[in-house]
Amino acid sequence: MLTLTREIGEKIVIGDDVVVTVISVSENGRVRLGIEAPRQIRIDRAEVLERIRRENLEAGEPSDRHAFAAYAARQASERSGSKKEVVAGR
Amino acid sequence: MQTTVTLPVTLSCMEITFRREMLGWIGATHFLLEPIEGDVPGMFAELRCLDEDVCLRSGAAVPSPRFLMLTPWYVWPSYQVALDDEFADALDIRVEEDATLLTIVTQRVPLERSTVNLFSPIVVNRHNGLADQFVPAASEIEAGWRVRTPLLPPRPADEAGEGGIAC
Repeated sequence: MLTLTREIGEKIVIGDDVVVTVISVSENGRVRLGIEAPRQIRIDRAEVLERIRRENLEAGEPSDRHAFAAYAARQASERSGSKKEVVAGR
Repeated sequence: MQTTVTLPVTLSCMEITFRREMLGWIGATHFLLEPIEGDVPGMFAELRCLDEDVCLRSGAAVPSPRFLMLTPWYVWPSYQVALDDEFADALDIRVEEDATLLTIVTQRVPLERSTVNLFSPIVVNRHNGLADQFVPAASEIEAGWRVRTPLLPPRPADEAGEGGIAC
């Protein structure tokens, strides 16, 4: 991994069109970064993507989806009562 | 400008193409959405991957995955998501009516531990079936919707204690 030392206000350039600027560094170690990049480049917090990835993997495991859906639909009907009818009526 | 998706929509059987593979499932981009009949028609659907060469990050080949999808408004009537311009543009979504939105259910044992990913829904252009999973720039706390939102009420026996399904 390449490591660079930068100070507040300094930038690094990735490729031709991604620029990362160090905005601020707090005493508790929190770093605020500004990122300029083309719109098609995905920028997300790594741990957020990882959390969603893991959830997607677990959600795709084999199970009896139809039986669960029937059960959950009955539960929702009992729980939300009149609210559900408004939504379901559209 | 943001596109806010709030509409309850009627589910119909449709082919869905993700503009990039679904997170976690390498090679999974083509899907068939099939509504599940039941007490509340339109509440649930099955999203079935049509690609046959799906693998995990480890490289291990796996059977094509299937997902249980929930139309969230049946359970959370106030649910809404504000899509940023880049995301909406990539799916050719111009107005709210162009989009439909589904949330992924994770079934667990016991069933009361099952959750719905309200933080990161699947957004679909209802005209052409182009889809992507929306990842808000905000955190779960800021967004107000969680990756693991309990779907079923806790059983009476559980209510006093464990709280084990918190994120």
